[in-house]
Amino acid sequence: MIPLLEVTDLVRSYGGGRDFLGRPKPKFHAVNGISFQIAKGETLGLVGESGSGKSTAGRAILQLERPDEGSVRFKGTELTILGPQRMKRFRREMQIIFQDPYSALNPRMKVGRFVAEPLVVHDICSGSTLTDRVADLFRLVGLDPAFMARYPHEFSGGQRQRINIARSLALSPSLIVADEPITALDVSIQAQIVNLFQDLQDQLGLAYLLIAHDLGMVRYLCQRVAVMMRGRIVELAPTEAIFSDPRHPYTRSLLDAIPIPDPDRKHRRHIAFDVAANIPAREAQMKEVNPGHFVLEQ
Amino acid sequence: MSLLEIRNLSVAFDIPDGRVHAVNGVSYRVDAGETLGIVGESGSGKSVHVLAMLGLLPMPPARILSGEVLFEGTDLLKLPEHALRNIRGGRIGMVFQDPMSSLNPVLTIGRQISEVLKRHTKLSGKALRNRAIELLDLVGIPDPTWRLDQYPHQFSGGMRQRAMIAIAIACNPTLLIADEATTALDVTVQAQILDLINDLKSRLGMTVIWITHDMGVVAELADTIQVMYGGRIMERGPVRPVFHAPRSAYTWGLLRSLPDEGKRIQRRLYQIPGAPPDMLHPPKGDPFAPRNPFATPRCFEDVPQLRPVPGSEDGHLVAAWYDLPSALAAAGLEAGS
Repeated sequence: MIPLLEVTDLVRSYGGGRDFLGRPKPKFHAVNGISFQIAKGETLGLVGESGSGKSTAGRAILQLERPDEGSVRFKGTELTILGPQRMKRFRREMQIIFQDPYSALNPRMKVGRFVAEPLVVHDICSGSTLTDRVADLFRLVGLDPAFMARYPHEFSGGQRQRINIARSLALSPSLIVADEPITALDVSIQAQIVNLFQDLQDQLGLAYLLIAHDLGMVRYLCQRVAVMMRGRIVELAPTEAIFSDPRHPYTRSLLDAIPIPDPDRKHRRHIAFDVAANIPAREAQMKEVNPGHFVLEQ
Repeated sequence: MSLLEIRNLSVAFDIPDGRVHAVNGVSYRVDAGETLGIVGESGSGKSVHVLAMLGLLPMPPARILSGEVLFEGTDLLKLPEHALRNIRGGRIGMVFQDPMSSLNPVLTIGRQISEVLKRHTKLSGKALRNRAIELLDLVGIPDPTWRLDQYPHQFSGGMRQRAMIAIAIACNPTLLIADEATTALDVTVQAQILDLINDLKSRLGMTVIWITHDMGVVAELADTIQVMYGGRIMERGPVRPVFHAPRSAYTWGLLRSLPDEGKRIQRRLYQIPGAPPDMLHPPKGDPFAPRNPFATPRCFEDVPQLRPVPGSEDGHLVAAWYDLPSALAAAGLEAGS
């Protein structure tokens, strides 16, 4: 069976070219050859710290930034070679949700119109059909459709993230890339949004690429986890294997660093993994250590 | 005697739409050598009450409606600005969330440490520089002699936060106050900073107030936890009884909504319903009542005062009209973490 999304040897770099004296500028490889697949209805966690390349990977997959090398296949179609017209059709099926529910919303636009916008842009529906569809979307994310006529400032952070999610669902996508979707929310609200993601997946059969640094939430939402470091995936495994049997020292240092909300288990010493001294070699390959559990050679 | 004692502190902001009641009658004490972890989310008053007591709130719009803040016996709220300035950065060190906006981008790290030392100590010349190097070394910055002459942009996020801590502890403060000091950092860097603080506590005997939204950080660092919501203290006490047998429904909900390994089989997280209160129109009684599944009619009418939890450890206090253990038992739910 063809996977929903298939990413192969994806590379995205910045810099390069020549400076004003014609000297070559160094290239920085934000994403340096990553490969993974996502099945329909699956959630894959892409985990890493700042500078690991996880957000760049998300944007390169959606072709918001064109990759330098590698292949991104969605339902079997190669996206990296598509022109803007054909790409527009695929954009309907792949949506992105960002971290900050405040800056994503237009403060002068009623939230109902904000949610309706993709339907209007893609010429899907209008008039009362449009209003009905937007009302359905509001109900789907747990908001009262009566809120459609209000402005963003009238909503709390959690409600704004629900509005963003409603908009991302407007075009009935099959894949959602969620980049740190709960990080900016209050702690008491995070669980609400995590549960909403689960419910929507159950109802709509969505697949998620969840980009996150919070391993705790990843454990809840994801079937599989890919750990990124300096542009490479260093470990890719079913979620429980990542937590119970981490093989790469970087994965272990990430797990060790999570503060545990239990005072009886404090006062450990944290041993940090020296990322700068252990940048993976370009030719390093992923090795399968257990079925479905891959670790980058060191 | 307590190192710090806050009595009935209330702070409000007067804005065009009305008065925002940010801190409502907060009273607590911190003993010398104690680490107090304050937990709360936006609008809980956790940051505002600390800024108010240090004289760091812009007034107006802020107003201190009532209260006393006794630090080593002196009421900070009555001190003139120049006297307060001698205490801030001297006897009280502070670390805030964003090291990039707290450091001056056009001065070297060494210069910024020296300025604090010059202001609060008699050090000068070579001794000043040596002390700055010693401080950078103490917070675990490699090659401190070389790093001293670098600018903030040449430091990584974690290194900048370490430099901020070096500045905060430069004058051997009796009290270190940190507000979301590790929130913007990667988890591995956060872990190192928490180790560093634990280490400095035992070496320098500092008293620490650590403000965060992360229950895990409190569990690693604090002796005492104080849970704030709607500008009030909901629960407070030694970490063990509060984490293992919380008495406030808010504390219980926070702990229960955290993902942890024991709960990995269940597919849904416990979620606290509703949203944090609008402090422009604070609820009449217990601020958490509208979101509390165990609220009693009285919770919506009267504000509960903090009182000792019978049968728990000394210092375990809760503000609640309901009895959480019996409410949980009636609902067939378990108590703590």
